[in-house]
Amino acid sequence: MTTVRFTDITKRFATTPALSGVTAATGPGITGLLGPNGAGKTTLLRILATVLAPDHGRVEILGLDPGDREERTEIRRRLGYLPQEAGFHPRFTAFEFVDYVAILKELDDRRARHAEVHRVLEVVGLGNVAGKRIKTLSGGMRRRLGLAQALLARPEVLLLDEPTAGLDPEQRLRFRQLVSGEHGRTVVLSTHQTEDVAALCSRVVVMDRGAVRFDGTPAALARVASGRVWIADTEASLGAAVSWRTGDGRVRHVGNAPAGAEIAAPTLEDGYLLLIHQNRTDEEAA
Amino acid sequence: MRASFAAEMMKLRRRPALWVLLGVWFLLALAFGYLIPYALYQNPPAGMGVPEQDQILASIVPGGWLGNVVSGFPLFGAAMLVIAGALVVGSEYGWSTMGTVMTQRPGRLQVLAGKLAALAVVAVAFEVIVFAPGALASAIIGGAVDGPVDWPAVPEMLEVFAAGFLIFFTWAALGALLAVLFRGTSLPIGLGLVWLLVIEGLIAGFAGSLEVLETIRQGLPGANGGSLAATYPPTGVAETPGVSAVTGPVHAAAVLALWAMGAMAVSAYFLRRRDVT
Repeated sequence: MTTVRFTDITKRFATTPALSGVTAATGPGITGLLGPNGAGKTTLLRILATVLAPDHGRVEILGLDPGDREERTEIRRRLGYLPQEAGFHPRFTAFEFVDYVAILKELDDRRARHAEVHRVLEVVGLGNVAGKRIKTLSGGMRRRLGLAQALLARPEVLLLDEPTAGLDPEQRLRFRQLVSGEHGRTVVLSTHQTEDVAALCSRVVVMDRGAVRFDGTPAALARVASGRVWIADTEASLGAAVSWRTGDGRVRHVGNAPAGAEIAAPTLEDGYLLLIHQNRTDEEAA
Repeated sequence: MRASFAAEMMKLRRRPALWVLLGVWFLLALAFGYLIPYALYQNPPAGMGVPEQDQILASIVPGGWLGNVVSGFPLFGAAMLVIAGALVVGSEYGWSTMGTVMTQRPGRLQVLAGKLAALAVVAVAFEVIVFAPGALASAIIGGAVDGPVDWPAVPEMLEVFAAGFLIFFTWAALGALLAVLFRGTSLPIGLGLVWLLVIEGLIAGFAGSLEVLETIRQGLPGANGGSLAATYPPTGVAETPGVSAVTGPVHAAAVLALWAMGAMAVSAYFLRRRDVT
């Protein structure tokens, strides 16, 4: 079942192209939107979240067209969005902030609304700090608070923009646990961290320079580097896309084999790095 | 719009800046409207004659209540409201909350309408906070000096309250417009205050020499706010800063309404058309 579909999406900011003919579709489950900084992930998510309108192309969310005012309102009713830089009103407590968003979501019945606010705060593990001012919460707690507002009214589509950026490993793990518990929903998770995709996603879309470069499973992305990952003792490798010295003192090369190298099993990160490198090389050659 | 208005009111109640503005405005209005004039009346400086003392007294007893209070609106009150307007709209940019607000159910125009409706409530609050204590102060002073207790008629009260609201809401809407245009609070507040306190004063200063400036002045929000307030002069006060009848009351009210509607329309246009960050 397809719940989110975007076809030939183009978006420019002044003279800078942000998206160039982006097409993909997804359904229930967690889809990772992977790409380097400036790839267009945030712009795409903002279009899907109905914050921005594309210059060209068609978007369909839950079978509805965000270009139509009535349908856009219906989409917003059924969608949760965690922006990349979720801001908070500094004087609010955690409870008040989520309650404020719940009022905007037109949850009119006060008792039911408060119950829903308490529910989402419990889901993200912030029930015990509901009465604390937001400015006293840690970065990880604030990120979870952002997720709490996105989970209000049990949205069918959840859009998360860089949810684990800047979090320590424990907070990231906690966030992964939360997101992986969202069964039955369509979750689109934008990130430039391959570990998040490998840990959470059943599907990955790789973007670079405003275009989709890969659309498939994480395993298929890893296979992009199949036969192209090498372990050697030497650093120099003319044909390597990237090379780095690992903890055991040996050098991992992704790309062409250096002399005396042993082949290694590819990871999702290897596939991603090779894909981005090939894309850049092809563009420069063209 | 109902949801965005309710959410905005929830937020406004928790904004210390607005409470501070309200408190400062209350103190200024009471001090300059009643305490200082009463002190002058009781302790007249050398050279002040009885007629001048009587004029002061007339402005701080119930008969002069409406005019005395509203005379502070075009300059001091307007400055408070332009700050309030910029804060209510511009803070969302500074806090990076505009994106969150815009992805909930209300559309952009509904969000703006909710904020403007909240600003209308703020304008009423700024009126009540000075009219009510002003009435009390004038009643106390009237009783203390055993002066006349002639309260204005209810229709006149309503008319002055409406005029005050128009002055306040116009400046709040202009503050909101500047916040939308500059996506923040500091610059809009600075520009709004410079316009109100400096530019309009300079134009007024040169208007007597240049006819074109006089014509321009008749279309400015500050001059027309002053003209509207001047319709209800505080008895006995020869000249209050910012209060002089440059135009007639109908002209002044019409110009202020146009400025308010224009500010709302331009805010709506830019908020709808531009990115929210």
